[in-house]
Amino acid sequence: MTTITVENIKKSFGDADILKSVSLDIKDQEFTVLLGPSGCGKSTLLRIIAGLESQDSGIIKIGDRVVSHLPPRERNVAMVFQNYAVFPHMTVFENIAFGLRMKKAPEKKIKENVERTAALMHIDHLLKRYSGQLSGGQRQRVAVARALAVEPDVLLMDEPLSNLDALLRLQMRAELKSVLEASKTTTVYVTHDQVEAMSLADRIAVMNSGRIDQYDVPDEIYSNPATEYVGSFIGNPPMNFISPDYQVGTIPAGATQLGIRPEDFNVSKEARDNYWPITVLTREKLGSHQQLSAELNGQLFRVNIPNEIEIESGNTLYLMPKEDKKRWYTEGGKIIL
Amino acid sequence: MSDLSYDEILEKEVREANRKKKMWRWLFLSSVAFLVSWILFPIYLLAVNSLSSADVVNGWPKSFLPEFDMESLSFFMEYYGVLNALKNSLIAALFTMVIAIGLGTPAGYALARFDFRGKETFRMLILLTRAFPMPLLALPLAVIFINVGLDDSLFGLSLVHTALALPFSVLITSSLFLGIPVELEEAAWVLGCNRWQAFMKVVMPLALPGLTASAVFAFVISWNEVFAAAVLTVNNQTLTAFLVQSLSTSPVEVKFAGGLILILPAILFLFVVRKYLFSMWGIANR
Ligand SMILES: Nc1ncnc2c1ncn2[C@@H]1O[C@H](COP(=O)(O)OP(=O)(O)O)[C@@H](O)[C@H]1O
Ligand SMILES: [Mg+2]
Repeated sequence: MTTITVENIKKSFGDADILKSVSLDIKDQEFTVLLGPSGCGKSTLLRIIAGLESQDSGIIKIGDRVVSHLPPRERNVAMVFQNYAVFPHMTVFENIAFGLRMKKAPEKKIKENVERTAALMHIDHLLKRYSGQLSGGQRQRVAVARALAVEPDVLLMDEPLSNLDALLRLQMRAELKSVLEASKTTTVYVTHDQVEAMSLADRIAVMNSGRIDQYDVPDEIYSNPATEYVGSFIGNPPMNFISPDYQVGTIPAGATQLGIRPEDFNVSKEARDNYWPITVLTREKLGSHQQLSAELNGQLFRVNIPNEIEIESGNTLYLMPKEDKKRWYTEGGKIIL
Repeated sequence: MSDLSYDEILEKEVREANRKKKMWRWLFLSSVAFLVSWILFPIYLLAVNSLSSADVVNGWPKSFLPEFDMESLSFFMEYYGVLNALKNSLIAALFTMVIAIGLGTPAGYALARFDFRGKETFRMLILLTRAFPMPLLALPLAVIFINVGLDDSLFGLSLVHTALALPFSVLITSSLFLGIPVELEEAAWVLGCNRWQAFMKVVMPLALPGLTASAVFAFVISWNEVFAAAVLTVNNQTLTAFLVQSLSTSPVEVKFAGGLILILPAILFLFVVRKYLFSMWGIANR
């Protein structure tokens, strides 16, 4: 049972509060993604879990063990770094064996684990090479194999795919998913790429300058963004936030914004009761659907509509948000449930 | 002008630009050649004259080709006291090397890896130690050394030489450690190393060539130092101090031989470590 409990972790560098009381409850074998824009404190949180950075206050537990004040080597975690950090003066074999050697594992077990994880990551033919003789993708595989070989309680990854080119990244993403699913290791994975987060995560923690705005399964994050920030960070294009002046029907008490995804409108070419007349500004055909940007009294909308509707920029289109897809937000940008 | 086509104008401009580029290149190469010969020519003359017989050295016209006559060199080597001075130089330089590396490596590591208050001041102070010329310091040092009983000892001399070599040891090693990504160390910590183990297993092997260079550099600084050596040693003279005192009255060909033997280690060393010196200057200029 390897849960991770992050309790009220605070961290500042100088005057800057980088983490403002962050809490997370990560379940056994869960794949959690820390998602947020660059600079929001994802790496700092991950490094505090690893013990590479110290928290100003708060507690980290791995399983039932409080590890907040232990050095990294006593936490039984493994980490994959963005720049791979493969030791250049050791062969691939020695790299993967490094953690086991430090733990004084018997030679037989070292050999077994190295060969098993190398085969898993498809680098078993490279064991005698040095990191200088490997491509970026191969180094990445060595870094993951090295982390898995120690059979850690917790696997931590900091943007492990971001240095790979696009095609390789897709391939590695799929591979990582199946490898990590099979290894059943509790994993915390940092990325700023929402597609990566959506496709890998059991649960996503969306970070907003030092806070976690929402920690939930990808579907919930997408359809019920807890804050305006989450709604506008996730989704491409992001959620529309519309002042309720346009709304007909009941507005919940305290609501100042209506949040609605671009694909969640009823669309009509003719005027209808309660539909908003919007002016189409641009239209892009994206294959599976068309994406419009449109305007009503200075309010901008992003709308996805089916290909069958013929429309040109300058035309007027009539929209109504689907009742069950409306989300309401307070002045402070919090969802009203 | 109007009867030149666009292509012709373009071609003319390209030709003009090429000519300028060539001129700059030529200027650059000749400056480099000048600077290089500025250094190499005297060394060459020194070598030629040490390898020539006394007659040729003192005669006219001068030859620019060595005869490979070993007489001056062997005379010099057999000169009374030379071997002992050579041994003293060696001992002082080895002491200096060990102390400078022993103190410089941790300081360089701290500069490269830790943020601490006064770090920039510390870096400046390290360089500032080179701002006081040895002639200024040598006499007060001699007085202090006599008072504490370190006078005329090779150990005392190597302490002074360490003071000269340490700034370089610190700067070279800190630039070495800066060049080793901190993630390598962090990866080692996560995989079960404490700080010391990570340093020995990951940082050290990667820094070793540079550390060697830095050690040899400290060695040469001590080896070449004259002033402190001449003032602080009497019976235990190093080679430089010995040469300053004994050779002023020697025949010119023996002076040449002494000079050559003195600079040889420095030249050999520079060939070995030039790569690391560049990286050191990169840091010192920042
Ligand atoms: N060691 C440090 N010293 C000072 N500031 C830091 C340090 N590490 C991170 N920061 C700052 O903390 C903020 C968050 O950094 P980080 O956690 O790396 O963000 P992310 O990984 O989400 O991009 C950034 O503004 C960064 O400049
Ligand atoms: Mg980061």
